[in-house]
Amino acid sequence: MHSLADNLVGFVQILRQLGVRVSIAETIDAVDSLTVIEQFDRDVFRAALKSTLIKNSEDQAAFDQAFNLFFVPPEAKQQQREDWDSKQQSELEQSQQAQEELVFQGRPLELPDELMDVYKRLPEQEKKRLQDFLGKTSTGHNVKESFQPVVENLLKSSLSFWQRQLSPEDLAQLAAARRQLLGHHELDHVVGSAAGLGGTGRNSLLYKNMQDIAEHEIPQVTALIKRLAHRLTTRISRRFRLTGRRKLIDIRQSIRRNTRYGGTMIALKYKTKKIHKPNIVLLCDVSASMTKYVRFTLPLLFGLSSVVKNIETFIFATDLEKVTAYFKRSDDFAQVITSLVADSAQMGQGTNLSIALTSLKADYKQLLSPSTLLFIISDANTLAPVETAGELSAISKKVKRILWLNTQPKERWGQHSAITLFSQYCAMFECYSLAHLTKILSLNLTRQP
Amino acid sequence: MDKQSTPFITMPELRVAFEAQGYISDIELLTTVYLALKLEKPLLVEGAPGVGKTEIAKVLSKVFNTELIRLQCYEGLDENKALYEWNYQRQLIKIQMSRDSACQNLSENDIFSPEYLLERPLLKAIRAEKRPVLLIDEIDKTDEEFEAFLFEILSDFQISIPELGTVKASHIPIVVLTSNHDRELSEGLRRRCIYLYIDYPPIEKEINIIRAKIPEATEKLAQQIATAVNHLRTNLMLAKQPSIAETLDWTRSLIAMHADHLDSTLIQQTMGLLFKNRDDLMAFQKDLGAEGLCKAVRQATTTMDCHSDKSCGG
Repeated sequence: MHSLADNLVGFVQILRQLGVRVSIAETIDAVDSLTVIEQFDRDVFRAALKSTLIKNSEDQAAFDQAFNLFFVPPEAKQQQREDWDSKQQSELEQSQQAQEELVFQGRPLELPDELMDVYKRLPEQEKKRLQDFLGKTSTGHNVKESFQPVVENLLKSSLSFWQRQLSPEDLAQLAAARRQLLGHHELDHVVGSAAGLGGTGRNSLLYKNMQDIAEHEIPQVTALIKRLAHRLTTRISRRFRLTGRRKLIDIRQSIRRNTRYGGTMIALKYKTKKIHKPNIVLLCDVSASMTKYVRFTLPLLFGLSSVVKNIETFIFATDLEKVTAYFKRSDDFAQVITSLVADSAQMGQGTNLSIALTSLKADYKQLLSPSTLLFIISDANTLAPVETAGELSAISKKVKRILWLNTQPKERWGQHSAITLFSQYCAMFECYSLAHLTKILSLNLTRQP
Repeated sequence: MDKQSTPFITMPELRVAFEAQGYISDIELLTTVYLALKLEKPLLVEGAPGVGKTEIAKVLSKVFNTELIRLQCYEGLDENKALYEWNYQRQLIKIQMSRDSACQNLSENDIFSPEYLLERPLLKAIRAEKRPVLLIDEIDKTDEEFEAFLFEILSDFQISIPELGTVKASHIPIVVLTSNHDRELSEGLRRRCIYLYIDYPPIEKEINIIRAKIPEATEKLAQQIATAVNHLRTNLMLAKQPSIAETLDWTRSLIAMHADHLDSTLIQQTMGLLFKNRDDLMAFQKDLGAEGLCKAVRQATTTMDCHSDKSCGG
């Protein structure tokens, strides 16, 4: 690739590979911008590409990383390529080694790529433990070839356990490592290197994993959630309603009203915009598996409850418990949460969403109306998934929308068949940071009915 | 569209013009604004409140000595408020008057004529005789339907009024849209715009801004103020971080109090200018305090003179 146009197209492909949406129109704008800039200074060049190709703040870091790796002198580029090749070689060797180590009676095990990646990152003693297990199983009495699927499943369970221990950031890095490359040597090393450099770091709290939120950050989190939730309370509809106050003249009503006066406009009618106030029902999973997210979920309950008036809040684990009253009592977050945790029988229990939804349907059916937005905040690890899906299906017909905020990273969803099942009856969103929540609220909750 | 309507300005001229208006900018900002002008595309500016997004439109109107037409967006804003409305009251009076008078042959065209048209910002921008600056402020406050309506107008720069026909812009306005990122804007709108993100400035840039906007501020005071504000932004978990506008307000009030350097008493007396809600004020008092801020500024600005025991520059 030599010409500027070729380089620009290559650069756009890299950005797309890094998850930045760049359209053809934007690429053309970038080319146009290069024809109108007067001085060909590196900073001006960077600014021209940035302002035409990048259209939101979240993508700016990816742009900077890719730009700094791609638009470099040939010597630096050569060095980068060599480093990339050596990294690739090392990855390949690790993969081959993993294939050789994970064998059953001399045959390689069939494991998904993402679990193989988890294996490669295991501590040495853990790898050794798995290899010993495979060795002993392979040579056990009456162990036949047909045992291989059983062994594979055991390995998958073990590696899945280790995968669950990984933080979403580590998972994101693994996903980045598996990122499909462009098949162009000159571009792939930039994609690979830029993908490994991580997030934006602009607003750390916004992008922070909820499980890592510190005690002192909770007021900030609560304030942010309150601000996000505020829009829900005052959503102004585009529909109009009649009003006695002098607003817009309602011509149709005015004419109808004044026909009795022979069309003379004696009594004018006015109209104003409707204010849309959705009914919100919030179901928050407080079971053992959700304990690590409690620093996010409780401020979320508190924040939404203190801002949105017509909201009913429930927590659930083995059953449903209404907690709306706790949030009406006081403005003090710590006080509310202390009494909630002390009084609730659900905290830290196992999860059975099916029972919780059945209780909701039976005991609080007046809450499930066509204007209700039902939120479920949960990692979707529940007993009786089929029954849960059945309840979700029934409730989805009664309410306006079910929005499921799933604290599990999307990379893991594929391993839970229940998530696919539940997704049929609700809109499910990955939500383990405030940035996720912001996007969900912004894109989904403020929409008109 | 009349391509000749583009004001001829070079990048160095734009830099000088911005500086003359007291707007301190960097190469990224200047290049982006320049491209928006040259490519005749709307400029979408995002960033935290008070970092100077709206100011860009104001500066541009001054640079090109043209009218600034502002559409302040809010929830529920509709086409009537943004584009045009018929003056129903006047129309009704006209109908009534024509009935009462001898001349009763009033036609529809008589009451749907330009004199009964209430021009709102978008129509005003399209009908302007000289290329105006159209500021669509806080576009994120409107709803999606209005946004979709808006970007159609921004693409074609023409409006169809059923009773009057199509009104086509003789000059494509210089359009500046601002957003505080309250709501995710549509891909369609973003694609049509040249994009600029303005972050809080680094200390050196903020010193320059203070000096440019408030020449009475001494170098030392400007440095201490910029350092203090930067420290607050980076070290305190605030719901509303102090913006550049607040930095400038703070500086003005300190100057009004005849201050030439920061000290803890002054900070204590004036912190209401920096913190605009109770929680942030409490967080400041609890986590840092006036003394703590003074100490932090002192550490960061070691080269300053010491004027008193309490002086931040000591």
